[in-house]
Amino acid sequence: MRLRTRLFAFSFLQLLALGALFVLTGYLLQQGILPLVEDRIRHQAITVAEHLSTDLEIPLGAQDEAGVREALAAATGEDPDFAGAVVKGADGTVVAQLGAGDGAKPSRPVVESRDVNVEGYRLGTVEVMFSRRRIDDAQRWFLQMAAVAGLALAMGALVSFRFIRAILDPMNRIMEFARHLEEGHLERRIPPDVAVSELKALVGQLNRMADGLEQRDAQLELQRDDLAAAREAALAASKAKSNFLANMSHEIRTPLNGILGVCDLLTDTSMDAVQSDYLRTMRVSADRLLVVINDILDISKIEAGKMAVERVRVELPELVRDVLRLFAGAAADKGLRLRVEAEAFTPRFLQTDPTRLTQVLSNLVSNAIKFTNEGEVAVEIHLDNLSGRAAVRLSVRDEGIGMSAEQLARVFQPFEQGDISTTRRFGGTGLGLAISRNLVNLMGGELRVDSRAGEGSRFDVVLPSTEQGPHVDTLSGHRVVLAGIRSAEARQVGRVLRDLGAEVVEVADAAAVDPLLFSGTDVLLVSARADAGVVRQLAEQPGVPPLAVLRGLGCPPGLEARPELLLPVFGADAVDLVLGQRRVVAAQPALPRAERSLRVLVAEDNRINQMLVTRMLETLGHHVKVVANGRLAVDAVMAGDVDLVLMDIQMPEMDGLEAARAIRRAGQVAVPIIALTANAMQGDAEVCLEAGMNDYLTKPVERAKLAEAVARIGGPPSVDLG
Amino acid sequence: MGVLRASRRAGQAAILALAGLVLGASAADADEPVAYAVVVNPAAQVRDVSLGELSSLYRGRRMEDGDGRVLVPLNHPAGTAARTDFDRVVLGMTPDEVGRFWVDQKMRGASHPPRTAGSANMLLRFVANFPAAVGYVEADKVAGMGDAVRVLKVDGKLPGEPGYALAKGAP
Repeated sequence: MRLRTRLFAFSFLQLLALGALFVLTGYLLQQGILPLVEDRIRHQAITVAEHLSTDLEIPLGAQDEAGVREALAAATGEDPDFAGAVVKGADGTVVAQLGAGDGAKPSRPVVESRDVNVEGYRLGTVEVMFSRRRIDDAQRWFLQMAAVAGLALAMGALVSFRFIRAILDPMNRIMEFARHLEEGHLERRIPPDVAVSELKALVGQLNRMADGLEQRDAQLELQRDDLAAAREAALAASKAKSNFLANMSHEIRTPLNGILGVCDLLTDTSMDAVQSDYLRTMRVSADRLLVVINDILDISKIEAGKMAVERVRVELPELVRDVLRLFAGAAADKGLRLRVEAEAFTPRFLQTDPTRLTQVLSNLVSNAIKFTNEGEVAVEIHLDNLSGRAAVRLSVRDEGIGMSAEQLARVFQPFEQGDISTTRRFGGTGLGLAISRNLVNLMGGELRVDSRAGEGSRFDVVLPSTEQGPHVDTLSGHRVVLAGIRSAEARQVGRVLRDLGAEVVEVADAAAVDPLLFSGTDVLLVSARADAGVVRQLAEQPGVPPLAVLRGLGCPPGLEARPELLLPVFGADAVDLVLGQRRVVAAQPALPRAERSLRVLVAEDNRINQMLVTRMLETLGHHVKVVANGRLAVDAVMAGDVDLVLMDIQMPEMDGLEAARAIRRAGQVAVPIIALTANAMQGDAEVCLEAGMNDYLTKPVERAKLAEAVARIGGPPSVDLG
Repeated sequence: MGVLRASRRAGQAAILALAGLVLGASAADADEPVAYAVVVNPAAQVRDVSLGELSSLYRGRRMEDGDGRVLVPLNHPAGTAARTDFDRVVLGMTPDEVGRFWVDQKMRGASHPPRTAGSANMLLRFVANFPAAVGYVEADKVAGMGDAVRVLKVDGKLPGEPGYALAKGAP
């Protein structure tokens, strides 16, 4: 219940009680006490009248006025209520009168009259009057008292209402003040004109509190401004760093581009053995430098939160084989076994970023080889789960130097390596693992590590998987004969096939396969290393099942086109082979010459790059025209005779973006433009496309990518009907 | 002669009292001529009265005159000489005995004592004005009243006549 209601109700009840008391008293007086008094007065009047009627017999009978008066005086005595008496004779004439005359007659007197008789003979009448003055006085007194009391009550009510308001008004003000405070109006104060001293003290205290809050708020605001300024400065510094990095990447990549390009060109010239060796060394150094720069760029992007990953459908066996192919040579050089096994039930496809996954796997395998001196490096692929959802785990294990617990704790920190001596011994930027972990996290997975000093390391890349692999009886009821396959490979392919429910028969000598086995066999698997003659003999036997070739990474494709099963063996590939859904694995063709010669305009200010790109395009069979800036490029395009433009972004006078816009504005919308950019930061592609370009290539420009882009953008080969 | 109806008992008492008065009167005759005159309003149909009738009337007995008017006896206040003399001669009682008598009568609820006039003058004026009033005063006070009151014969005698029963100061 509200305090106002309570106080007012309390006050009102008090008044009501007092009022009721007065009404009750008045009622008692009027109905109980005053009638008694009136009865007594009337009784007195009767008594006096009775007495007088007797006492007056003789004087009245004697017609003695003096006697009558004397009797009257004696009978009425000193009664306080007596107001007067009149004695009349038998004929009605007034004989004597006592007390109030007509003028002083009291209002509403109690009147008693008696005949004066003597033995039935009427001598006259006596009439006595008694005053009700005392009753009237009592009533008047009571009314006056009630009036005074009523006045006092009214004053009391007024005072208590004022008192209630004197409490409630400040409280309302305090409440309003608190609400303002809550809304953040720290400058509000409570008006201090409060009557009740305790509340006044409270109001004063609250106002002082608000003063304190306001001061502190002002201080905080100052501090916040300082902080904001500091943050501004930090952001500006960070932006400067980013710009610096972008510029540096351009500045470093451009000369590097030159070095790599010249190396490519030199390879095509005739050199002696020593020169070739120098060139190779130069090429390797430049490649390493490129790797280092890429690492630094990656970590910069990650730290800036600008790293983005794609999600496309990636064929996992292909990706793993590509990585392994890269490192097969390095492993062999160190005398290490590179063992790869995939669980039969692994799905063929993953939704992920193929470039980044390749980068991560390469980094892990490269490290494993780097830190292992003897033994094996194993890549194993298993089904796993990630927070309860299906996942694929790619484990890279080595038997190298391993890491201590302390090293483990810091292994994913950027710029960290085992220790200083490790850096000296093995080189590298120390960014690889940090970049890898960030990339895996961006792809929605986890990068885990387990290692002990001296016992090797194990890194697990766990990525979420949305697709189903083959299951335990996908191949049940099918039979595969392994003819003349070496034990390790046979073990691997046999395990995968058996896991999927197939029957596997191993025949040590391919030349001695029992024809009885032919019937009911789905595939006869021979090794790619097997003697071609033996295989041909086998294939010519009557009733022989389809032949397939098991080929390792290092083996070249066979001369005859047969279905192949590649090592490492994935369950999905095995299923395709056995069920006859084989894919034709076409040999990668040599870089083809363009089928149509294009007129290509190269806008590039750097002379080395001009030369490089021109050379590359010419080897692809295109005609090249070179201009040194954007303005000249626009002019050239407007002049016509251009099928394709390669546009450098950073050029003097008019940069590539501006030139592209100008060309598009001028109505040349059909001419494809490919940007050449050294800025590898995310977002450059969008800027190029927005400027009206069709594609972009990152410098240093590689021949293969250039050829692909030109073929794609330059359109399909036109058919010459002539 | 008026016809006075009185009780037999009162009559006997009156006779006894009369004997006393006669004795007293004979003694008073000699040296005190003043007696008490019994007075009545001239309108009352009564001429004389016996001492016994007088005694009955003053003991509360209701009596009427010849016209049937109720006689109203008037007394003097107790303690006055006239009253003491009258009580002794007519009622044959001392003032104390009279007091006890009326207390007794009151307790029986029988009759009221006669009215009392404050003075002889008042008594005379009342008798003069009230038709059936009866009273007694010293005989010499009647003289000034003229015809306003009539003096009754008591046992056939007027005051001053020998043998008049109501002599003043009689023993």
